[in-house]
Amino acid sequence: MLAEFEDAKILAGGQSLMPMMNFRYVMPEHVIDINRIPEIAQIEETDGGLKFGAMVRHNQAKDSELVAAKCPLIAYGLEFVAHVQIRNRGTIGGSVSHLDPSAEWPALLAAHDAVLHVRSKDANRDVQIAEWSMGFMTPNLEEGEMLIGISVPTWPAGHSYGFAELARRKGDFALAGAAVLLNFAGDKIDRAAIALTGVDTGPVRLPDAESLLIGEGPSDELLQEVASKASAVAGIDDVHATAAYRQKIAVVMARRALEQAVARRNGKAMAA
Amino acid sequence: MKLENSFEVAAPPAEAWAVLVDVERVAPCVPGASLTEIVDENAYKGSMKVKLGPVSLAFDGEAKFVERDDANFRAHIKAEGREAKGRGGAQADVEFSLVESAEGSAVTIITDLTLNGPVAQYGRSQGIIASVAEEMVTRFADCLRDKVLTQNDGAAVSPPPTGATTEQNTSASGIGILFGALKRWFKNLFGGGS
Repeated sequence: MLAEFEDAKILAGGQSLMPMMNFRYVMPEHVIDINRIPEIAQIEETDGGLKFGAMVRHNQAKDSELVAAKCPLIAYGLEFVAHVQIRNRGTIGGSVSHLDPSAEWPALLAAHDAVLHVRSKDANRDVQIAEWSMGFMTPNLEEGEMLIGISVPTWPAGHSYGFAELARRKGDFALAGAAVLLNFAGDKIDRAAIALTGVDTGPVRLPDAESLLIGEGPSDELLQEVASKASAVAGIDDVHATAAYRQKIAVVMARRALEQAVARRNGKAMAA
Repeated sequence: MKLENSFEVAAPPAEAWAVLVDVERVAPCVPGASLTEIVDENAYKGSMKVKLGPVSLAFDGEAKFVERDDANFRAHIKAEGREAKGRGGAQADVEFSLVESAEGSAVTIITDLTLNGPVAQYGRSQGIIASVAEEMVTRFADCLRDKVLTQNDGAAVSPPPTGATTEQNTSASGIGILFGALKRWFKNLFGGGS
């Protein structure tokens, strides 16, 4: 249908599309409702990870035991998505295709190096999360293509995680947010991922910051140095905050997410 | 908001202008724009499609030369458009200039862009309008430099029939209608009366 109709929008959870239509901001000629395709509404375990169908609802993923066990960062990060009513209807596919700069899913997926599965009438293709954003709210989707699923490679069992975002009221669009994954070998970090949201047109990974952590124990000074790399983002200027303020907040959120990840690790060590 | 783009081409000014005149070469740089009416030698009507994230906008409007300095390769164009579904409007003040440079010619495009109405007010896009506009002008300039001004094989210039439309099919960039105009201007420069 996407190929057939010009100026069509896909209706998934409708939690972004319907408000825009109510504002008469988006006025598509056609709306294609994909709510009755059970094949893309499942969370499956795969060899090496989890696969989320595009129609998986935020709360479905957030409350899933499988997700809590394999991708705890996602289960936790989703608590920050809007409000419960929105999470009941909104979908991962919708969030990632709409690609609001402040969306949580893109950062959660970027931390895991997720792969997005795109389908058109005649072809399939895979897109790495790092190549998903083509600009402001513009994902790597051609005319007639749709996101149908996302594969998330899982981190080793026992890995640690943190997520922090700053919104003026809980549930508002975040000014900046950070998702962190840390894996420890003994006392040292042997793998790290830091992904920011709210500061650019897509999620931002911090590879320079991540490499500073490898082989190190997580001292306060190191975490502060690592977090400070988050200020190098472009930032967004709007009525809610300046780009400069967002850059500052990105550093604070990165630091809090790192500290959470370390605290979770220490909590485990203490319990053992 | 003010946007500035500049680029250089390996051709002397007069030659660079001559290529800019060739609408068939310049037209592909302006996807989404169509020239619908040539009002007179200085004024044009056209339409433009722009995709700003999730929303597809269609502007109908006019563009006209308010200043021309043929000898010094400068032009000042004012363009104004209204969104077809009532979602607001756009005004652009564009200054084109071309000067001789070490490489050949240096083209500068300074755009002063104002959006009003719902398109400007939608909360999620406020911070991004400037970068979308910037990207549009950059793409246009890149296309001019990489595709148009590097193919200087002296192809013949064909005049635009009055009232003809040049229809492009893809997204973004609205400064395209100005190129139909530029072309006609240069036709006057080199061949027609003044």
